[in-house]
Amino acid sequence: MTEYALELRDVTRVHGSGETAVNALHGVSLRVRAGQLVAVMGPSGSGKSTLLHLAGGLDTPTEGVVEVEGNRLDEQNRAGLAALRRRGIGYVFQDLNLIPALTAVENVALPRELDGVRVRVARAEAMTALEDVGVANLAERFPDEMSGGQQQRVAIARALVGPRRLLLADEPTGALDSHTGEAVLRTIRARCDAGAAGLLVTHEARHAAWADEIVFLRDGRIVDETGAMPAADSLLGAQ
Amino acid sequence: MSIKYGLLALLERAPMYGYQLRAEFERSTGATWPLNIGQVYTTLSRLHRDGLVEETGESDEQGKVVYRLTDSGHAELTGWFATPVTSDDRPRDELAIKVALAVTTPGVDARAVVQAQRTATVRHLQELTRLKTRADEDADLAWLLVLDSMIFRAEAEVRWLDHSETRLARRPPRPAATPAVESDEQEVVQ
Amino acid sequence: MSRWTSGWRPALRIARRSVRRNLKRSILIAALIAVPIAGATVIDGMLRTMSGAEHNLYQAMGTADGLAQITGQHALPDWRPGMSPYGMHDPTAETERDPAAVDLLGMLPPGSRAVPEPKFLGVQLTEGDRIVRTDLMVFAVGDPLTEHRARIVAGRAPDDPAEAVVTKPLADRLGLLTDDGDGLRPGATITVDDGRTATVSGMAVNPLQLDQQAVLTRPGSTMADAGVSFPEMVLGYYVDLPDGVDPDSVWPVLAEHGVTFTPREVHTQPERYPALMTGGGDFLETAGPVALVVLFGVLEVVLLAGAAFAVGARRQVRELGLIGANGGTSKHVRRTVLAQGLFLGTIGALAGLVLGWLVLVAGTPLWQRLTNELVDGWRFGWIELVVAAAVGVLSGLGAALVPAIGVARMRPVDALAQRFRSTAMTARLPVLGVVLLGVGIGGVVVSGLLARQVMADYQAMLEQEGAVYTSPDVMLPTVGAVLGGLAMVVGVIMVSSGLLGALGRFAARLPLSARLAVRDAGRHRHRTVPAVAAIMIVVAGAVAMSFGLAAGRSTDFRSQPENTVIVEGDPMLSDGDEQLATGAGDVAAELPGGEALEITMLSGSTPTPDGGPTPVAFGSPDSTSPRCDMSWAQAGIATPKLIELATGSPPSPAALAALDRGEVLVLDECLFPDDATTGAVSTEADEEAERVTLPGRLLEPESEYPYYQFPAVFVSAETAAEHGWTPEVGGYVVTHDPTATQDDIDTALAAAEDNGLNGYVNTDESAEIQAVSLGLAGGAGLVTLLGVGITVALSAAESRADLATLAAVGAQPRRRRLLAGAQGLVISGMGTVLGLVVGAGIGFVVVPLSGDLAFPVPWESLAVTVVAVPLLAVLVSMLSTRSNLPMVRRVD
Repeated sequence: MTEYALELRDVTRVHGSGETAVNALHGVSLRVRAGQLVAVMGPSGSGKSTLLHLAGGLDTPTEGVVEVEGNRLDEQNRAGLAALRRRGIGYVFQDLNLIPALTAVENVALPRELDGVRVRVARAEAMTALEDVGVANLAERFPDEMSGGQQQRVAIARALVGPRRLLLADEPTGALDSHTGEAVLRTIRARCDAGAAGLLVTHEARHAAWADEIVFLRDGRIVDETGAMPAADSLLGAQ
Repeated sequence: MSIKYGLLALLERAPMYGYQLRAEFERSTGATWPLNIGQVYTTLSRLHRDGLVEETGESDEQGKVVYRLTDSGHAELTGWFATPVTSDDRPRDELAIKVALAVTTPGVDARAVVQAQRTATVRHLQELTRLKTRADEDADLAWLLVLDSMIFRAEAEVRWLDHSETRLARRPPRPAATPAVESDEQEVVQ
Repeated sequence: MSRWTSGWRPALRIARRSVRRNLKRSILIAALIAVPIAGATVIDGMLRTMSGAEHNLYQAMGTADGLAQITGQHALPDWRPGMSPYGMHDPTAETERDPAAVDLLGMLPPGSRAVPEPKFLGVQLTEGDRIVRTDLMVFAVGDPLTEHRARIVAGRAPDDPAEAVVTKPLADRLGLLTDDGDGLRPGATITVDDGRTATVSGMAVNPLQLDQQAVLTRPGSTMADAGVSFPEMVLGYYVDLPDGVDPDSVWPVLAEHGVTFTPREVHTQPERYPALMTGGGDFLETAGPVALVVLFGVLEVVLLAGAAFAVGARRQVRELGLIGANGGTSKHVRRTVLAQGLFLGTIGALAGLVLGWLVLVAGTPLWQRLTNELVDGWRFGWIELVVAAAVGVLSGLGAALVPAIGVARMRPVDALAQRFRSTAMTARLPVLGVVLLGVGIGGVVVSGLLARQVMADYQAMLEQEGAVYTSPDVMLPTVGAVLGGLAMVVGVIMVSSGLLGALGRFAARLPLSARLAVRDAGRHRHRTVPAVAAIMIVVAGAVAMSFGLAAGRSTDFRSQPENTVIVEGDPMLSDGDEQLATGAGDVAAELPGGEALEITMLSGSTPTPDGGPTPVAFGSPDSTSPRCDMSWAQAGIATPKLIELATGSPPSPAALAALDRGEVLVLDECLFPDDATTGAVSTEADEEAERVTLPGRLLEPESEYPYYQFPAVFVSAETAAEHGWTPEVGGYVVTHDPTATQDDIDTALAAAEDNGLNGYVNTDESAEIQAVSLGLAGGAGLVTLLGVGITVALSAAESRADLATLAAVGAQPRRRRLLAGAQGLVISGMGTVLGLVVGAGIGFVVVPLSGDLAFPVPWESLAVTVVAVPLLAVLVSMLSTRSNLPMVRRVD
């Protein structure tokens, strides 16, 4: 069952109850393999963020099963979920990803330190992660001394520090200009090509296009998906 | 946009002969706009006729004629760069007409048309992005700009399709008799 | 262990940096913790330095190894160090000896040194035509063993019999100081009223009594026998033992010779001396109230700092959500907030210790003046300070606890979105809070009634049985009041949240600012409730205290009539009636409308054993009335003016006629025998004295108790002469106009002093009590302002977006001020009203316990508290609100 880094099977999430119940997600199934970047596209209110929260165990589905690296999230208690988030899952949000009181390297080392790893080890792992995204030179800066794009890269480093292999990104370029945004997506793409699994939520097709597979979400349902990416050179051949 | 201005722009850099022009053209626009040599020579002869290019009189070892811009050719090119592209210059938008027809034609599921088109466009977008991934930021600036242009256009199309889908979703559904029109081929658009 | 620390490490790192990033709020919280600890440090330093064991030791024997006291007994076999030298008897000898004849040095180990304790005498110096009464201390001035009695600060110790040293305050009074006020005029002399003079060789201060005015001289000098003193029963010596002598080998030897020897170790190692009287009995009595004050103080800090923390936690909630998203458990989140409390608590505690130390050290001259002692170095009780610091750290943690739990309980998704579950308008009252409140009110009312009953019973018992030595058993009502009060406080805090919600419901009809303020208070209970509770506690404390003080005031009494100065001679030094008459005249001259009236007392013909005149006293020899603590009173000669002063009204013609008939006028019914109808009083003396019974008449004085210096029995001069009683001037009462200023009175008292006489005026205790009451109200006001200030500022910071919206729809800047004022009013008003209720409840118990069953209500201080405090809060919150709105959101 560990073929997929992330698998959602028939996941439904209802907010509230009774007359005020809102169906945020309805029977959604999704799989992300290691080395694969899957994008979820949809307008605001389509349930994209809920999907992402469910995938990381920040929220629990009303029905259906979420599995991360073969672990069923509904079988974990709160501590187990937290441990899974520390070791397996990394989030990158639109902005304000970093804790202002910590330097870049400390931010990246945070999940490892929370996991009880010794400071030096955690720091070394964090430096490696920062090098992987190309901002090792910013290690000692505080978040307010970095540009938005740099902050997002540090957040990506944190999302994939140590043993973490699943990156959940929620509009990671939403607060950036298009050029910086592209650089951030390029970083995510590179990390996935290096073996990480990525789930990217966005409402912009241009950004979703970086993914291997794109899923269209509307009103909590998957209405469309591109399927696996055809061979890269087919474009010229098609002409 | 036409091959005419493409060739004029290339000749502005340096005098060239036909095959050279074709290679440069493809290099600048990526492989997105393939030309055959016949198109190049037809266009060149038309430009020569209109006095926009002239033969330099030299030829290479294989005896191919080298062309260069005339003054009026230069003026023509400058005028082209200075004039913004208007929508009138573009070909009629087949996609818009297709969706419009799908809505009004009984028995056709317009949403399916839209979604199929979107899948195709997004896949195209993915391919363009993949090309961009491979490009070298410094060396291929012109090529990247062309790619970006295509990416943004495709994205606009996706957004328009998204918007259309929302509109269609809000309309009360009409009884659909015939199966949805499958249309996932790129050529239909072009 | 490593897992434990690893859980805290990131939390502490974040805490440390967050504290720096939110500097203002951090300083506020740390200051809230630091100030009480600074206070505790100051108090501890004062107590340890001014009254600790080392201080007691220094006071008793300075730097000596021990204090030897030669008694009149030949041997004291039962004496042990720690016992008093007085009152012990030698069982083997009948007679006593003269202590001065004992050779102390002969009993001490060879190489010992013994220096006698100072002998205190009174002396009158003359300076021009002024008489300056002062102490005369005869001892080895300048000897190291007496340095705790006098330290030479200028000049030198006397080494010639014609020399003496004066203390600095006396030098000042005699005008012997140099112009800069620090040195002694060269060639200064002092003259005693018998004509003896001495050269002032130096100036000294008494380190334990800086304001002491005294002439210091060596034994055998010219001045040594200039003064008057009582004979001493025990002679004390400061003893310096040779090195290596065990003090415990010294005292048994000395005790066999009737000399006590108290080694230093009695003070420094009291556990070695089981005979020592220890004052452990009142430990609970002191510890109880102290613990209560500390408890409420900590609660106060926790509430105020907690409100600030709550807002900090809310601002940080996104960060805390990120910790959750990165796999932090709720424990990690809780720790991140708690670590800030820990950090600020530690900073506050340390800062408090340092601040307290600085206040003591920098303010040493001030403290010396206030405590009247020289401070050689501050001593601290390190255990107390560590406990105080620990309490500070804990209160920091406590302040962070509630916000930490609240934030940790949030779902990470809500925390990330900075979405707070609405606590909006549920006006549900928490059941537990209502129950606690009910129990508290019930407990306080029952305790109050119980206290009333206990005190009423006690007074009835006094009435019936006379002298009663048991005190009333107030344990039960006291404990009931404390527990009831606590239950009320906790209950009110729990209920106030629901109350705020209920308030919000009625807000719809209020004007805009008030409506917004009430709703805001209801929606942000995390900061409103602590502030309200903090205000409630101080107001309750102030109200309860002012009830207690009012009760004390209503039982206050006066020692002499209004607008009078009593002038009396010094019992040791007075030169007689002439001096008294002159002095009284001088006093009267200083006062507007001043008139000196002689108070003449009567003495019998037989002298007392020590040679003094026997007072003629009337009373009832067999009086058993329990209400009367005075069964005898000295008689004086009646004059109409004196009677008017003593009773408050002119004597009736009938009373004057009775005097003429040879009857006595009695001001206190206690002086009559049981059957007052006989109207007869008898003179008192010991068994052999002649007893005279005269018909008496009762005059009702206006004051509850007779005035001290006035006769309580008046006899006409003729009647006195008839019985052979000698009139003696007891003193003068100088009456003056009510227009006399305090300056006039001070000058008059100085005039009495310059004549070597004592002058007395009524001490106005009610003014002091009033000041204390107002001070309490002021303190409550200060905390209220702090609480309101914090909440209003936090509210403004938290609802900046709302305010921006308000401004965007066109509200004038004035509106925001009004809003702040309304918020201040809601918070302070609610806190004050609740505090009034709780405080009045506690006062209901406190007042009867102080012996006052009338339950007087201190309207003035209540009014100040209830009206002025909220108004001030409104004013301050309005003034402190900026009218220009910072529209740019600061990223923090």
